[in-house]
Amino acid sequence: MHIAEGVLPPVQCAIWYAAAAPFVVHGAYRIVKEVRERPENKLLLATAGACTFLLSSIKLPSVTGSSSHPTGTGVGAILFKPPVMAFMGLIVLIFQALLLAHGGITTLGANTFSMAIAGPWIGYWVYLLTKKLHGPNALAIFLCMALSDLATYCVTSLQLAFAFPDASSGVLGAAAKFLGVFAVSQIPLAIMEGFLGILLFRFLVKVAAPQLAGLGLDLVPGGRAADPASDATAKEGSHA
Amino acid sequence: MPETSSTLTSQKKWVSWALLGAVVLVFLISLVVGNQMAGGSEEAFGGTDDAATEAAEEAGAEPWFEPLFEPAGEVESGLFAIQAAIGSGIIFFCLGRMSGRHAAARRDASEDGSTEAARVADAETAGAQALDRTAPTESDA
Repeated sequence: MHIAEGVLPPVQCAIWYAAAAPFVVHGAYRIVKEVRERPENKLLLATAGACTFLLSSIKLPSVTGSSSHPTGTGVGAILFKPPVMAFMGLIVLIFQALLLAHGGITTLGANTFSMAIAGPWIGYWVYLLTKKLHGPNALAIFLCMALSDLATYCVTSLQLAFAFPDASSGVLGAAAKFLGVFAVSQIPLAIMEGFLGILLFRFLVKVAAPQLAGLGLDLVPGGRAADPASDATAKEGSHA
Repeated sequence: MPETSSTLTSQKKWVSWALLGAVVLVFLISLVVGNQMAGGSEEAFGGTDDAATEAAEEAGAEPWFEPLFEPAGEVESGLFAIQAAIGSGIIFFCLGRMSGRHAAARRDASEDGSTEAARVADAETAGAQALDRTAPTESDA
């Protein structure tokens, strides 16, 4: 999903910067607020950020014979809601743009929009929808992780298609071409990310149930009913 | 449905192993099928990002800005490894710390019977015991 340095025309770089900026500012504000209000969640916040940092550094092979990165933005989207990921994703992308020549400073706005904004939001909506339809929690987490990954690459394809419409078939033709490069390759990676997400949340439910309940996540059965009690344990935990 | 809905909270060991196995399985399938799709050529498993950049350049993209710093291939792999190392270091430090706090909270709770946390922990253990033993026991009373 990293659009390489200088590939997008300057005007489009500016547009994507402008589109991403409010989300990033809002995300930074949310992170500061979260740390001030619920310091006991710092460890979870760091875990969410580090997931993106780790997963986006790994190039995995895909069935199409090419390789690609997962994004890992679904974890933070579920735990702290998508705005937080806008800022965290930006940090990861700056690191990669400056040190690894992966992505770029000119395309940072576009890459932030696809990986740190569109991906987490789409994943989170699917998570909410699954919960609303009374789907199992594990399925909701799987879909959020997988689709935040897949959606990121679909948005990148659309960004490239808008920038470079096909001479004969226009934007749609170009979108199909770029989706052909990205989307199919990404499916196995998205599935892997989904399973990893369930694994991680299984562990979190075991060791951080009070914090999860404090964040308003009803992942533990009876979590709603046990709310006052778990709040008490959360407070105890913050003193420890 | 009930079976899947407890996937998240069931502490049965095999569930975690099955999930890990699923990840490895998808990885291996990708590796084998991908290798065949690429025809075993040296270009196998090229990055999709590079492929997209090439496609964009064919469609008329002209890079107008060069990366400020471009590491050589060997150094690049090391920098990627550092990124992964930092990420996993933070993740497992945090998970380990949360796990330790959880264990400590439970231990404290069982030592000091007066706090609210203790009552919660007691209820948890009582619940677990009730699940473990099919027959009710009077020995605790």
